[in-house]
Amino acid sequence: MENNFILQTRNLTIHFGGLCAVDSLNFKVRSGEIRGLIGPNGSGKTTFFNIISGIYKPQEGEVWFNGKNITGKRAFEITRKGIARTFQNNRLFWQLSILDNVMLGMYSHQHARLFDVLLRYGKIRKELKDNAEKAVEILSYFSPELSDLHSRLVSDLSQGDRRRVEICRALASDPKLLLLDEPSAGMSPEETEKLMDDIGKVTEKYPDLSIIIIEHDMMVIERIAQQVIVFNYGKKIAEGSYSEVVTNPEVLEAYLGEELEDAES
Amino acid sequence: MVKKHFGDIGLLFLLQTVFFGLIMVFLIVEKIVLVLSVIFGTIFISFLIVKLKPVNQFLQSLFNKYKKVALCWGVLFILVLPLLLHESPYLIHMLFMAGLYAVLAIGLDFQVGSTHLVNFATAADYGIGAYTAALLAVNFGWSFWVLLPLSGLAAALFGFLLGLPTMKTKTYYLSLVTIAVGLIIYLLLNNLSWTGGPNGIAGIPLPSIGGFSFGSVLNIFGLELPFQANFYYLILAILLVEFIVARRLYNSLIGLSWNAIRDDEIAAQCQGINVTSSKIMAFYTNAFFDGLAGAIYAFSVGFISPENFAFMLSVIVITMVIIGGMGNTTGVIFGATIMTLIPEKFQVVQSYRLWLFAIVILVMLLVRPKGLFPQKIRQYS
Repeated sequence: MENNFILQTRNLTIHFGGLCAVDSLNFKVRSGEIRGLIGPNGSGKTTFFNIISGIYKPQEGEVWFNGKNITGKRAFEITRKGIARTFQNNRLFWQLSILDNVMLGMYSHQHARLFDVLLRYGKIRKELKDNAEKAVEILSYFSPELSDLHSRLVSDLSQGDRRRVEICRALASDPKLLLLDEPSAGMSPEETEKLMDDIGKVTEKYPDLSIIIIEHDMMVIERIAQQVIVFNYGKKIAEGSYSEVVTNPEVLEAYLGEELEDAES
Repeated sequence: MVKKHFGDIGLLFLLQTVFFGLIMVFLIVEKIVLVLSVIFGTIFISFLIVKLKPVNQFLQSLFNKYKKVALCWGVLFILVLPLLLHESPYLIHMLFMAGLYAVLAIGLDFQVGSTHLVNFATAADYGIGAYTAALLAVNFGWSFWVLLPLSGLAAALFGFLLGLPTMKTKTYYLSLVTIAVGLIIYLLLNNLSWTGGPNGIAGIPLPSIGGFSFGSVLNIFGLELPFQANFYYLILAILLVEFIVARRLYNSLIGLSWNAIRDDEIAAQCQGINVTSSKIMAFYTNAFFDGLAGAIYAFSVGFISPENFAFMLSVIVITMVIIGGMGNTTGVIFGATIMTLIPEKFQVVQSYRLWLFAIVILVMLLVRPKGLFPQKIRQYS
């Protein structure tokens, strides 16, 4: 596999029963690139993320990350290698505080050995304190209000803030690849504006970080993504800049087909 | 300024002393009517304190300001209890049992409270610890002090092995597996010849330390305390160790990862948490302390049988965690204490114990599922 790509998939395929959700997918991302991933509902975008992050095992094909074959590895191993993600339906740790959530993002670099916790607790306490400071720093980079209120439960937050915490948690693991799954879902236009600013801040602070972002809101894709890939029925049907892709007849048909179906039912 | 401090401390002292006085009354008094009035009076006052915001806040700030003082006075009271009760060996034994259950409950809290792994095999861990200690003491004469950690390790090994098959299961099915295993252990203890079968194991000697036997009377400040006090102080020491361990686990990435697994297992995996090994760690850390408690129990009563380690015990300990507070160590100690002392006080209730526990669980889960004392938010200075 070529080494200048941070992520590369070859012939990636996964079936669920009779349905082929991702079909012989070849996908490449370079370091520092920001990729948009669009396509009608059910085209396999989130499934693709789930395979990359290790939640699903593909039946065929390979995934290479940072020069290593990570096909079929478990989710926690893949995170520890440097892939972080957010979830469409916001999987935060609801009964924990904002700060705890972000600190858990740092787990991949420290785990926690029972021996140390029991017998070298001074060291553990210092590590936690340092982590807490780093977490507050990450939070305040995006929103000083959030970092001030870091002891609040995440369940008390607005959707915009929840997404912000999720992104901070993902960044806390110092990843090389960030997967954002429909980050603007459930947001008002104002919140979406702020989200785009936040993603801009991410690229500013972490210029080497590669980002793949799934979105239905084309405004976000247009503003953020350098290159866009379009999925349909688990296959890649178009690739290029936003303007190229949006005028591609096959892409239009894929989306129109979805609208027609919605209109008919 | 100084006057205010003294005034506040004096008030704190007074409030705590009144509370301790109530506890003493509850313990000593025997007429059911009086016991009931103490209980209901306490519930009523607690209810008022919780509902009346200004009172609530005042008390909380008072305790937070003078935490060390409150703690010292509380610890002193606990240490001095046997002296106050030196004429009632039965009461001291009851407090010892409350401490024993507290040890079991804090361990179970790692699983039920922090990680939401509802484990019904506490009796099995406890029994393995007890039988390991009893068999090695009676057959090979090993010392209590060697057997104590050994029983913990034996139970921990069992906990680890119990954890493995449950990893393929979720929620209710995990509980079913633990119920089944608990039953298997009970049946094994009841039917294997070398465990003594239904007759159990008798003749477990009393522990001794430096020539002083735990069966002898304890002389403190000229007072003669019945031998039960020795075991009371022993279980306090173990509780202290366990409390420190529980706090360290809680305020560490281990405790955080357990909570993360509880809240969202998939998101937890995606933070780099090896969910399987974290869950198994919850199993064997819980089991270790159950094993310690088992060994202490065996040596304190001198005779054990499979009946002591039946399913009912697991249910009782789970009730204590549910009442006390999931993920709150102090709450769990409180839950264990009241669920031991109250049924003891109401001997009539003994035949209806199952009803009592069932009703309590139902009420708690409906009204306050997180327990009387909910989990505290972690603070990092």
